[in-house]
Amino acid sequence: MRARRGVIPVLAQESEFHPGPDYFSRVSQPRGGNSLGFSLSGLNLVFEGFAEADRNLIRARYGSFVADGQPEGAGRIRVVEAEVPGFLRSRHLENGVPEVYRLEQVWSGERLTAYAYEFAGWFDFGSHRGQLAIAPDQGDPLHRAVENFLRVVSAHWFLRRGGLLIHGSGVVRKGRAHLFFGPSGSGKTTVTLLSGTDLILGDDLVLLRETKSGFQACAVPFRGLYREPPQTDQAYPLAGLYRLVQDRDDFLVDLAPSLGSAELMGSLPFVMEGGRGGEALETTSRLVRALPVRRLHFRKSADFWRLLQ
Amino acid sequence: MTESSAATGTPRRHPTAGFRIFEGQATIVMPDGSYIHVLNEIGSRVWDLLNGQRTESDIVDLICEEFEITRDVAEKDVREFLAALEANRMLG
Repeated sequence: MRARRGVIPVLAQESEFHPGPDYFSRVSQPRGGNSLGFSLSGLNLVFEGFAEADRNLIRARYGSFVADGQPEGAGRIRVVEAEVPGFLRSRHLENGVPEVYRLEQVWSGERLTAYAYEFAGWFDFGSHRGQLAIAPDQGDPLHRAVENFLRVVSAHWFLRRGGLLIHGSGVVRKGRAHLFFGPSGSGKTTVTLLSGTDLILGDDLVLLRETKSGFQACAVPFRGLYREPPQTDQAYPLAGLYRLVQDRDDFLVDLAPSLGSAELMGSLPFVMEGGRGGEALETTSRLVRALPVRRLHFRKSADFWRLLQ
Repeated sequence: MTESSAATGTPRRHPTAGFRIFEGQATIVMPDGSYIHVLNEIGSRVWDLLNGQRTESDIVDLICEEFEITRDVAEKDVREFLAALEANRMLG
């Protein structure tokens, strides 16, 4: 069955619905009358149209990253009812396993449209305006819709400002941040669990930003369902970049800058498939010239820290 | 149909390919971001030479000179490398 595009289906949805440009002008019913500000390292947004329960949920989840007031120079996101049961539908991969997650991105000038199973939204990086349409509740879609929309907007926002939202974990030791990255199962969460009383920036996503004094790492509020909120919203100078490899011994291997850059780009969510690979290459090039990437082979023991002092 | 630069005899890099050469090794990103390519030293030099003005023979000459390999080996390697780039839609 062909996917429908651009109109609002009125019957129960059997296929995927890919929102075209007309869709967003047709959905205008807010979920409620509440607004909430969101601030992350210079990305300031106000969500308008939350139901009270939505606002309470997001406030509890994002802690110090949200506030009732309007952050200075904030962009605006209108939150509306999707008026469709959903957008994408979960597929099974060739081996029969259901896909973990899928998100489509479409650019039109400065405007990015992103949609997944439970939401469709757009954000204009020129006007800093946007809209987020959320499908009717099926479990806990509000939290996932807002978070996944924010993840994709943040990834592109920071890339355009010389930053990188990296799929990795961050640990601060002696005031300096160590970034550990690699594909799922490489040990990002394990590293944080082996880091005792160190400050944990996150075990899923970490923001790197470039400043006059070099690259810094900071926490982002995005996380899985049951993880702890970030312990800090401060930025820390970056001490090391480590591509994780679980092994029987602990040792480090220096990576050539070409490989280091490629490894980093392989850990950038959204921006590569969103057509921004060239910009990502620019930023990772500056990063690997400032700080080499090393491959960290490690056992499930805190002993690897001895290599990083 | 647009003829590829390889077919015209003066191959060139795809114009939308992003690349950086670090210490003689190229990292290449194609616009759809599906694949990130890292080339070895000779492949990186060939990639750098693909400006749409040199013929394959010109490139072979330069590779022979710069890397001190025989022409037979250089011809085979460059031909295979260009075919791989063409297959991966990295020529424009």
